Amino acid sequence: MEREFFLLLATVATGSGFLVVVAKDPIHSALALVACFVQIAALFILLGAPFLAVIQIFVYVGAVMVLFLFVIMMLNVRQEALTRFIPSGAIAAFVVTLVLAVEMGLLLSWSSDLHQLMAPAAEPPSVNALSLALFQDYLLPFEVASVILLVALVGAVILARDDEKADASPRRALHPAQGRVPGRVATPDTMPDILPDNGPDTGREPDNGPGTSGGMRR
Amino acid sequence: MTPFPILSLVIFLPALAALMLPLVRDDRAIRWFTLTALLLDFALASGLLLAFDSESAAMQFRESYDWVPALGIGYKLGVDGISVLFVFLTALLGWISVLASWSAIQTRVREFMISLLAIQSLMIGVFCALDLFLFYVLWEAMLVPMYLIIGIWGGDNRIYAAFKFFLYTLAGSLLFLIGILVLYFAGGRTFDMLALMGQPYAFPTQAWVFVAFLIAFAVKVPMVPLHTWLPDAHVQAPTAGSIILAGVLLKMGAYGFLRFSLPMLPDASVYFAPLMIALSALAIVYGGLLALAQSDIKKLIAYSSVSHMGFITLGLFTFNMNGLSGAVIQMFNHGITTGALFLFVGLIYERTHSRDIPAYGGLIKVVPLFGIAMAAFLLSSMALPGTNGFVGELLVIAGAFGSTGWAAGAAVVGALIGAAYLLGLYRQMLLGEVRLPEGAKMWDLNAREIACAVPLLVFVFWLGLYPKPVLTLLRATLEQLLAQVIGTGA
Amino acid sequence: MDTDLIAASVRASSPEIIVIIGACAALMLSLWPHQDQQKYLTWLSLITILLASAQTLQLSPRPVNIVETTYSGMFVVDAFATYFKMLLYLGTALTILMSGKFLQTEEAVKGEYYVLLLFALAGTMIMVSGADLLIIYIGLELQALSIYVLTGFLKTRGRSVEAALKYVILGAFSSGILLYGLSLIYGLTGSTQLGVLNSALATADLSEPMLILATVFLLVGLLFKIGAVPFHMWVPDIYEGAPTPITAYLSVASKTAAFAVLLRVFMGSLIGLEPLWSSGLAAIAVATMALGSLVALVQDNIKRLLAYSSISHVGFLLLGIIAGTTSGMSAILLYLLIYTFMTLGLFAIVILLHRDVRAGEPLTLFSGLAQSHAGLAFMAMIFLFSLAGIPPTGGFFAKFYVLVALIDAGHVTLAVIAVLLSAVAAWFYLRLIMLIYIQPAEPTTGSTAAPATGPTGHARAAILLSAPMRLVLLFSFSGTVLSGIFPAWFLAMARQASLSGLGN
Repeated sequence: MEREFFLLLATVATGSGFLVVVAKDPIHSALALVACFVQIAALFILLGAPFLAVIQIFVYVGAVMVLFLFVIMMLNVRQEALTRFIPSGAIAAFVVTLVLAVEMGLLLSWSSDLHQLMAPAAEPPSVNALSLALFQDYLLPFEVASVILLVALVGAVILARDDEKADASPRRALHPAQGRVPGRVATPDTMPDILPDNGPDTGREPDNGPGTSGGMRR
Repeated sequence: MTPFPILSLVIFLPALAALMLPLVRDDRAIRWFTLTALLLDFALASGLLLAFDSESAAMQFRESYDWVPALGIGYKLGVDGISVLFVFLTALLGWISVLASWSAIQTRVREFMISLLAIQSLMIGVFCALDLFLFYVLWEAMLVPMYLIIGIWGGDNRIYAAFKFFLYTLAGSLLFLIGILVLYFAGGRTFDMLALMGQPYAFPTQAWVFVAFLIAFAVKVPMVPLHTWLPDAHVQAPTAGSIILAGVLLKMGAYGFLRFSLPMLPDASVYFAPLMIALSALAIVYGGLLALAQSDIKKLIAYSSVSHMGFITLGLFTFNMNGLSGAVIQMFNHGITTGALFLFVGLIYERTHSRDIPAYGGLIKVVPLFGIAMAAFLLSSMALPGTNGFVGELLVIAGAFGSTGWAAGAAVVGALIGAAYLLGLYRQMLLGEVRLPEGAKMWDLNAREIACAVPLLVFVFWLGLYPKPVLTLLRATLEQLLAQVIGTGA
Repeated sequence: MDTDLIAASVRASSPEIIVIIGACAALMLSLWPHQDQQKYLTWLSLITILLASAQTLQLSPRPVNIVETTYSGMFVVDAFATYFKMLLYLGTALTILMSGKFLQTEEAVKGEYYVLLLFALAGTMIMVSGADLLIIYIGLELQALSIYVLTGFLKTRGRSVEAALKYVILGAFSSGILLYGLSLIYGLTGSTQLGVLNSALATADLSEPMLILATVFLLVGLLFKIGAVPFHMWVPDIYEGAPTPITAYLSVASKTAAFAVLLRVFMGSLIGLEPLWSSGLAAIAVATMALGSLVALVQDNIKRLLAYSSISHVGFLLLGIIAGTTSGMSAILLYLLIYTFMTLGLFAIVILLHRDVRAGEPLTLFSGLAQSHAGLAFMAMIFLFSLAGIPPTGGFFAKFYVLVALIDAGHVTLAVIAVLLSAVAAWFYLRLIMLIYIQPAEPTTGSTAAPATGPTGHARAAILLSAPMRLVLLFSFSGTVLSGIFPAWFLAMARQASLSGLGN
């Protein structure tokens, strides 16, 4: 019974994960992600970790995803997202993925440890035990994870903050290093740079090296 | 350990001067400063030669300090009969190259002189090193200033030539490094050359290491299949570069055979000797034939170098006293004579800006001193009796007859071809109707140029007429070397 | 876990704590608008690093073979970690010093830059001290997240943003692979602690497919981070797009930390699995060197060229792991130290020559440098020769020692391949030297390229050498030269550190 449930939940989770990637509309992507998270929460219950399942629903579905949807709707990125980030080479990537997946599947099916791995814990751990583990055995990862969150916060602020000074000439005067270099005065050709929608995939910056726009180069 | 570190002084004097050169103000002062430093170094090297005890085969003036003790690397110096001769030759050609580039180098004089001083230090160091690691470091570091000399002050196609020179030699040297490391582990984790000599290495090890060394040295010498960098480098290099390249750098390869291949890998040396002799004979004849076909003076001399270096490697692998001493003398001779020839090509090029042989004629009537001196060097290069070249080639051919008859025959043929192209050059350039390239401004040798030529001429005739001092100098060392090869090998 | 244990743990991790506190202080300081803000931030960061390094030295184990494990076996302080931390301090401090000028040129002077660099430093420090796959992963993420933001720091520049996005995607991808391998290892052994893994895997059946899969994923994840060949494709794009000091940081500190993890995991606890990965790793090392050297030949952007050069250096470094001996390990440690010096030195010169992100960094930036700035040109030449491995520079000794270890372990063929490929690599360094010394300065510099007769020539806009830049150049230059001429001291440090790293 458990096995069938696992297969069902895992299939739905994988399917919705796939949908996140292929959906054209970002809203659909986000909703598929919500579905995926819910499946994972259910998997946690199946593994005997109800607390984690609740946390999963609370944090990811309740908080993160809602915020995500909020942002998508507010910024109206739907048009923007319609242009795909990786335009070509998708078939090759798909083939490689398929080969890797088949290889992995074969290796896993040959493995003798496969079924032992899936054995759930004998009795569901209490919240008490969980917190003890979190604050004693895993104290360091826990603390470092909080630093990671701080970095994420700072990083998000930096990247999202409007840079009003990017073209403000008074600041130039502050830096004597600028004065000596000819051709550094704001000329019309600096304008495209400060347009707000200069996305990474637009390839709008002056092309100095070969093919500066998306995709990998050698 | 030693009362006075004379070898270190000889090695580091030019380097020290190079470090001080950025402080010297103008180009004139830079030239004088460099000349003084190198003359001083030459004086020291001459003193070294005089103080050298030729009775002993042991390394002399030894210095030994730890460098990287964890790996058995030491700063070990010492000279024997062979190396002291080449230290002297290097020091001699050093100041001559400064004089040769006195007026030829007008741009970035400071950098040029720094490169010259640096390469001087490194070359002398290579001849004195008794530690394989030290030897390798100096050996490879030598590429850098030479690369710059060719690349910055060379002819039109200098970048190509400099790259070719660097990459050929680098690839060879790196294989040399692998060979060194294999020896290091086979010989008990030491880089001390004397400790590595005479150890009974297994034959397969010897053979592989010999091949690695062979590639490295064959590039440097250069031996025939790997010689193609030489004409490019010579043609493009400025005069001083050519002098050093022909006079000293090419000797490094032969010196490597003498210092490493023969004493450390005797079994493999004997095993590979037929191949080496065949390659040498090929170099003699093929180099000569190529030289015969050239119309560019520098190219002609470059190919003649290939041919002459063939004599040297032939002599080395005859494994008898005549061949070996002939080879070493020929190394010295080639340094003097070919160095001088490149110097003279440089001098004429300064006047006419042409290296095209058919453009010249009857120079001896226009610039008699120049013509006479050049004739002397050409005759020495074709080994006319009475000149130094004769002694060397005769000994090598005699040695070759003692071991491989047909190779001696090839050497004789090569010598005849040599006579053909050198006499051809002599006739076309110096004799006949006066013919000069357009825009030539001729003047005979001035005092500075005479100062360059005279010492070289002295050696040409001294060695040609009375080679005994050099032979005495070499005897003890070469006898020991021969014992190392024959005693354990064959 | 009682109070004593916690106190000991805090003490052991005090350098990390100092760096994080310093980062928070810098964050506060960056909110204070002041004309000299950047100067203060630089000083604050440097003092933080100095304090942390003093603390690290004070904690350094004596005698060297003592290994102190804290945080329930997750965090170690040993000579290996101490060495790597000092290396990371050096790399980060030099990066901070060279950032000032670049940020001014780019008008991106923002305090958060220094904050993020310090956080990245903390992440790398945790990586090298981690004795548990989990904490290693978390340290790696902390480092990576900071660098993602720093890569996209010039957010008005398309290239920078593009690089950041690519880095985020590929970084997350590789982290995912790493994490997957990690979870498989956990599934197989029931632990993520390296010490436990070591004993658990000692008796493992090496033909078990699951184990193979776990090893492969773990290895691939880490190879991704160091940019070894088939997982290198992110390197050139990100190196090109990132702000130049961050490129320098990426190629030095990030790589150093990833190598520390690779060494600790694969030469320490997974050494029992060596038959599984050694031949594959040898192939990867050769491919990395070959691709790095060959593709670098056709680059015309200096940063892309340095990216490929760093790829080929990674290949050379991997050879030390293949040697699999203590001397192979110390060879890597020594190589990383010398690599830090020479790479940062060269990047400092690239930053000095840099005029505008829009102009990119074409190779011609270097042309004619010798005529206008003889001293800088000389330094650049030494750095380039060192990268090419020409004696008597440090780069030669680094490569030499890797070869010693390799031949000692009996891999002569690999050594021959390695030296031949490094001869190929020498080509593009020579090309740069040619540009510096032979080509005249490009005319677009604004003034005439008249042949200058001395160091006072004005063939290009004069380069102002600020004090921090001088410091960077002094450090990296003397490090490069001294490690070549007196390698014994550097070698002794590396050997000492590697003695404790194996079999912990």
